[in-house]
Amino acid sequence: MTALEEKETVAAAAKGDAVAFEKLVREHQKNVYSLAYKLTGSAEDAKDASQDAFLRAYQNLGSFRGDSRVSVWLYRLTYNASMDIIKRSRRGTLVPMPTDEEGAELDVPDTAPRPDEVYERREELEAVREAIGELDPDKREILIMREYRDMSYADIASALKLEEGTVKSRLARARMALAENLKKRGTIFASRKSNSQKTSERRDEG
Amino acid sequence: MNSHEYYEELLSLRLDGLLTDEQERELEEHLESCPGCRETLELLSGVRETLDIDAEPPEGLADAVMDAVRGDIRAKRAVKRRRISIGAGLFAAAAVLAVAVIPGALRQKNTKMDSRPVLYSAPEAPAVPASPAMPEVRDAQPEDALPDEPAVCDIIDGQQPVFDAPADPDVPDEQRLPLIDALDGYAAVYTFAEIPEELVKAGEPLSLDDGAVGYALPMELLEQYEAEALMVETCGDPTAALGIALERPDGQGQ
Repeated sequence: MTALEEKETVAAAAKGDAVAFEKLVREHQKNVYSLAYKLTGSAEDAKDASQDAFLRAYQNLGSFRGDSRVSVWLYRLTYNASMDIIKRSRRGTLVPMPTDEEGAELDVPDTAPRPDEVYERREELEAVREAIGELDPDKREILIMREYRDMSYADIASALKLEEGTVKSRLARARMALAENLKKRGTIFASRKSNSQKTSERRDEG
Repeated sequence: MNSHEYYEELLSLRLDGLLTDEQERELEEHLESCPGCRETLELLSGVRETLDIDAEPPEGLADAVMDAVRGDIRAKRAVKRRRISIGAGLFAAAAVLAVAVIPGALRQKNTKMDSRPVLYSAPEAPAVPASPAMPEVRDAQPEDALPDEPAVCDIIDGQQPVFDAPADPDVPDEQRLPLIDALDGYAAVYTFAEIPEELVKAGEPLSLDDGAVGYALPMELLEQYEAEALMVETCGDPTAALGIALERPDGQGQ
């Protein structure tokens, strides 16, 4: 969708055109869901957060000014919806690991992540989020674009009006600062072995 | 000998899988002699792995969103065109939503859960499980069967309180809307007489699906009125409010 198409679609949706809104939903659902997943760490929460975010978008279309792209606006809404869900689940009781009467862990089907895995992942995600949150705004911004929004170097360059070469060096500096932060916090990935090779092979974009 | 920054950049590029073979060799060589960079790489790979969620949205996500959106549209339309009354289930919800309503304004309503839009899952009240008696939005008519709504300003200019339907006998009781969920704990109803200023002030602007502006009113405020229906329709100007269909406790309604 070009910027102009997007503007028209938003305008139509704001007038109550549900079909237009659906276009926006289909266009952005992958990014919204994937961001919500990265923030909440669970498929179910990600789904809820995505729905909430889109609903908030729908209900606030009138206030969307159009000076930023819909993706940026949705990013904000998704972030807020995800944080609300995380806060809510913190208030609730944590699901304990299922155990049998003697306290041994029961087998849980492999397909669903076990509650402690979800919990662990959430802790990791939170630590990363906090460490990124402590960085300078410039560094934070570029890291969020790359790590949370999966933007390519070229997209980041165009969003920040930078040369791609500058994106490379800024991103590197931001990552180094993040690593410093994580070092200070004590490593949270201690249980993992380095997996950088696999990661770099899997990630072949940019 | 390259600067350390150079290797940091290589390291960053490697996380994104963007190194050439030559650069890969250079970095490997450097890593062998630089424990700091090894640690950094390990940490950042951990970050990458934690965030490396390339999750496809579940099938049906967009449909679920659209169901909720359409439920929202219907709810708002229904709020506009129908007389609104408050279900018996409201009593059950009152504790959750801090709502009080004068009994005179209540009618017995059913409270089936099946047509309840996903949207209104009382997200701000997670501590209390949704009671089966929670009121829900009911809209028995399919959306496309709804007649066109007149534009709000027609009402403002016109003498016709189009939405006024003190009894609206066509709407059977079971189709009346409990309003609480319809607008997130606010009462949004119709207005046709003088609107008390305090209500206007307390109103929260609402954007309705046809672009109309309304004001949602906190239910607590309505305690003072036997509100059968109230909503402030203003075309954006609170002082131009149409009025409100409400009966005061002293019986001097409208």
